[in-house]
Amino acid sequence: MRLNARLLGQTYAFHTVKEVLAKANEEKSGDMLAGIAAASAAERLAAKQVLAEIALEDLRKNPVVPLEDDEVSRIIDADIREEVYQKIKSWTVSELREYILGSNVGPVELRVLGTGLSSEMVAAVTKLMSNLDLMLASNKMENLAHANVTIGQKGCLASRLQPNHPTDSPEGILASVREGLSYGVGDAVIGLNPVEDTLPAAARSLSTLYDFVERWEIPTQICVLAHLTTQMKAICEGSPIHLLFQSLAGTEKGNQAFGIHKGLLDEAFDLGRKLGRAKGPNIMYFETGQGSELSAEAHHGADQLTLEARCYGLARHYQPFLVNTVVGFIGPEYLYDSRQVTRAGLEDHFMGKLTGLPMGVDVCYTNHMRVDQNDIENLATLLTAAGCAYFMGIPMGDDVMLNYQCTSFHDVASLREMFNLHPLPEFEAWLEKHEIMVNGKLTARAGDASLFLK
Amino acid sequence: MIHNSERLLSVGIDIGTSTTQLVISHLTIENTAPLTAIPHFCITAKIPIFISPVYFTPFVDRLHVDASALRKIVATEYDRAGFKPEEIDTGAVIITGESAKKENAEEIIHSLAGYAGDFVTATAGPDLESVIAGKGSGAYQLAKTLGRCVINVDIGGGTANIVVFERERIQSTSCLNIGGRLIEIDPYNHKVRYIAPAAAAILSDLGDPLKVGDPVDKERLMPVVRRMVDILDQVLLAEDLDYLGSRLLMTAPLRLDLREPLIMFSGGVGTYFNTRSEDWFAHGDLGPLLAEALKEARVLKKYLFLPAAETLHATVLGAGTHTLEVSGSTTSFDNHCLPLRNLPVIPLELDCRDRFDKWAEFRLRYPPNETVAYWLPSLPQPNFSEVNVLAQDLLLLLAKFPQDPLIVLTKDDIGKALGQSIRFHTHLPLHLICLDQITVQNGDYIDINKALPGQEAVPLIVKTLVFGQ
Amino acid sequence: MQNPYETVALLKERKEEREKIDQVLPDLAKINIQEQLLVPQPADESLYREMMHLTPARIGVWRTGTRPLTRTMLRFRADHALAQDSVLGMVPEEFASAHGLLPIQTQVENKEQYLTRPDLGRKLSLEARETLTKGGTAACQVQVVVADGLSSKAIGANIPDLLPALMQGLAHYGFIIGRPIFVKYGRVACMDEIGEILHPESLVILIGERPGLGTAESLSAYMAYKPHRSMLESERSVISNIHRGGIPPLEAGAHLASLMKQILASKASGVRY
Repeated sequence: MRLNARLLGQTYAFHTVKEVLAKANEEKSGDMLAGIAAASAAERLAAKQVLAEIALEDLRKNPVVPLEDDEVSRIIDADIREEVYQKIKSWTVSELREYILGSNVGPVELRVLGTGLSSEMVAAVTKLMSNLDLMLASNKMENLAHANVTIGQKGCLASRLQPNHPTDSPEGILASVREGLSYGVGDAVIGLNPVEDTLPAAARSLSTLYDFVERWEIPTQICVLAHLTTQMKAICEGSPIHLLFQSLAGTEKGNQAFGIHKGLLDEAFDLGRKLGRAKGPNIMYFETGQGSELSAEAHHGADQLTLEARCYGLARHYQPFLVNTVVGFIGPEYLYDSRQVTRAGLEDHFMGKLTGLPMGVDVCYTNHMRVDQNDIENLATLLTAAGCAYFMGIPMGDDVMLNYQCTSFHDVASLREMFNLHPLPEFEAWLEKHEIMVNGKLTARAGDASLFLK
Repeated sequence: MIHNSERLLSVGIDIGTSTTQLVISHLTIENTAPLTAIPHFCITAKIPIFISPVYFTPFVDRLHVDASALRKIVATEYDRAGFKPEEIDTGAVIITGESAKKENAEEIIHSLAGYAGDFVTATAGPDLESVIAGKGSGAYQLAKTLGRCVINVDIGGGTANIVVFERERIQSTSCLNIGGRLIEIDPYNHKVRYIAPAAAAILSDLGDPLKVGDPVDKERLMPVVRRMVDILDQVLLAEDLDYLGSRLLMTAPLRLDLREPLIMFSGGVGTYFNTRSEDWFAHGDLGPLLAEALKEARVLKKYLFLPAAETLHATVLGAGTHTLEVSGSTTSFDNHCLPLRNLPVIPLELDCRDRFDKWAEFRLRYPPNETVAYWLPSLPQPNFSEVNVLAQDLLLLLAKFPQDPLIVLTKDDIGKALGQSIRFHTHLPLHLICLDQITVQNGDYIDINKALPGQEAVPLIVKTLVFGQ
Repeated sequence: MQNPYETVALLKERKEEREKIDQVLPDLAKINIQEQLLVPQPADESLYREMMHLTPARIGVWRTGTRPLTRTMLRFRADHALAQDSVLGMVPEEFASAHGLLPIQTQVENKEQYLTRPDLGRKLSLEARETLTKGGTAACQVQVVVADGLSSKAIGANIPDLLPALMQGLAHYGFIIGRPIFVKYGRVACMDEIGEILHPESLVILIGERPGLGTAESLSAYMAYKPHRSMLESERSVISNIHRGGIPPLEAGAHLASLMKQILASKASGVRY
């Protein structure tokens, strides 16, 4: 394994694979904050050059956190399909990139390829890809999952209806649910971020959403994104749950900061399959986002992109129905401006898909970033072109509880129209039944929440 | 910083036209705010733990309620429930319907309130009665959770009390002099025993010569109860009232601005409405017949009917569980001054010249030895200097009445800042109570309980007392 | 009958008045969006209006094709503009002296660095340490600190009422109060270093919160008993959501004074308090 490179007459020496991975990363304020980013554009490129020549087996042998120190490393390593891995282990990262982009490689080949990759390999190849590379490769892949409906198929763009409310008022939540449904939003999940993370509050919101969905016979899933332990208590007490949610980090220590570990995830997965109300088999919902490990001081000196890839490796273990990165939520100290957010969104989406996940993106920003609504409309458009499975839909993109902005009901409808994409088939049939959509187009009735006020 | 809750024992006593009841409930007051916010106390649970049997309201004669018999009822029921008056934290005695018109009504309920517990309040008045019944029947809660308009009609022995809730707002109230006991009938020989003045008005309107001693049956009385329902329909559908209607209406007519309202019936007649009766005169009155006629009401064809969560006990439950309020959680007061009872509320005008002179005039209308509470209407977002000027003016007012404690109630969340400023501007010893987030109106009286332990939130009862008509 | 000439003159005058008013467009950000139902002929208009009052979310906004109407889009952008201006804007230089605050700065040198280097916003510059040693009050009972944080507007909107109410309360309780400090480019934990230099028995820092679209003026107060650099986040007490639509600044000031009194009495803050 060679860790040195010459570029433009200068020699760059790197000491570890982890260092190469970090310095090969596109510019991110989070890597600078961690003090691991390349010092110059030239050093970044030298690192990419070194990375391109590293063999996949060297990446497997050098996870950014050693197997003996970290259960996430162990889960990812154990889940690699050996027969696939054996065929590709001698490939360099450069060869992996060219294979993925090759015109004779389609969804089936990529699905098989993904099962043989470790998260470090996924991250490495991402660092060698341009934005258009990431979009083209993502667009080839199709990862399906099924809970009450099927998600991930080509030709569809699904959406999470996110009806957050500053006090979890049931009627206030339903007001946004009604509005979203009238725009054809809510086929991936109707998922609430609760203000109050307690069992009674979660149970109340779960039955609010479940009763509404049952009453209107909506073919979708519901979820209340409380802490996993709260949802587990709720499901044990008989609360109606379709999907169990948890935020993931890419290291064991990072997950500790989230209050979770493998044993707990295993238990939740088991409970969800036994007591959940969804048909399944995929009943987990995970959210991730670059930078969470550093903010928990659990990054082990690794870059935020590689750690993000490891989140997907961990997620894969639980065959989730939904995974999305919350790409611009964490703040400018991790992703500074629209350029970094755009890049991260495309990277995360690609990495999730290559890991085999039904991948959505919460294209978003906070008010202290140099990003505005135009920037996230751009990114959502790029991601739609890249075959993203779902986006968030919230009223006018303004989340009145989490105080950040993301894609709106209007944006989901616009992207579907522009790219000729449909809601998920069962949900589209339901929209047609309520005369909100005909032949994939919104009708004159669409946008009127009072249709659901009976 | 401290999440906590407090449980209070509350009594409700309803002295109605025909029946008297008593309910004891547990009220839970809880801090519902997150840890990083100022506490916010709300009444989160109201659980009746003891419900007395239904007594006939005891009368000495047609003009006087029997005070000693009422005291005996309360004593017996406290005993059966296992509580002593001194254990009761709050509650209300309400005198309703025809009973409120009796000559000794006011005196009775004050003495009974004192007898039932130190912090039990006396209340009366048709509007208040309508609201209390509507809260006790579950109409208010339903309007709040559904975000809809809900009408509650509480029909007892002598009056039909109507309230319209629109979400959390009370849109309108009204009271009609119709009820099940306006004509009394002997259950054994089915002869008319008593005809109340309101019933006489109905009979004369119908040209019906019915008089005490006449034998009756269902068919004989159906026109009378149908006429009552007709008047009720006129009020509920906001139609122009006929002559009889305007005579039987005891308050202003109902103001209605309704879309798809829901309607429910409570009170004794509300109970019969949901059950089937064959023995029409088992209770010696018109109740079951009135309920029967009500099933044909025109209003039921226009508004969606829902059964009330509570019918017979609606008013007594409302009295026991819906009269208490909690002030804002950042206030300023001397706890040793509390509790205080029966304070008249004096609204203070803010935008006038020499305002403290004017305020002093208002104060002089009350006897010097009577403790009063001043109420400041809305002063949205005052700044620091405005509050300091206000504090100084209040101290100027107080200088004219040096023996008074200073009791100030505000609508806006400024109680603590104002209280602090008042204390800052005086070196004299001062008994100060400064509570916020309270809504009262001219003519109200207020009872202020002791503060919740370790907190600045204070439970209180705003009373509206209206006797006679 | 009125003189027709006078009527004409009056009408002309009124028209001119109207035109004067018309020259300035109404303030977009002043419209209550919960009152503004833009859906034409909804299935149930009155219930829709009711429902809009149950959530601050931007519903009932309607569309043109699949896009928002112009006024909805502009209102959203206006709210975002206010939020961004609040983050990127500066508290005016004269603010500190106008409110009797001793101005100091952290190691952050500009706004961009402030946003990307939270670690530097927790450390005081060398100059700041000297200023504190010379001009600050050592070993007082209560030290009040104001820091810009992520919202310059939160400072301007709340401090002029909150600070005097807080100082009045503290004075009334009879505490020895340190000269209040203003920290430019400050994060919450800059209080720890101030604590180590001046050794106040307790400290409260008033700091601008990250703006949302609903309000850009929200302020938080973090309180600590004997602040020092190794203290845990859980050892700080916090009150957030201070602004005109939340906890009013004046009432917050009075409330914070009594909280400081409690912290001094129990000699602890945060979860231990």
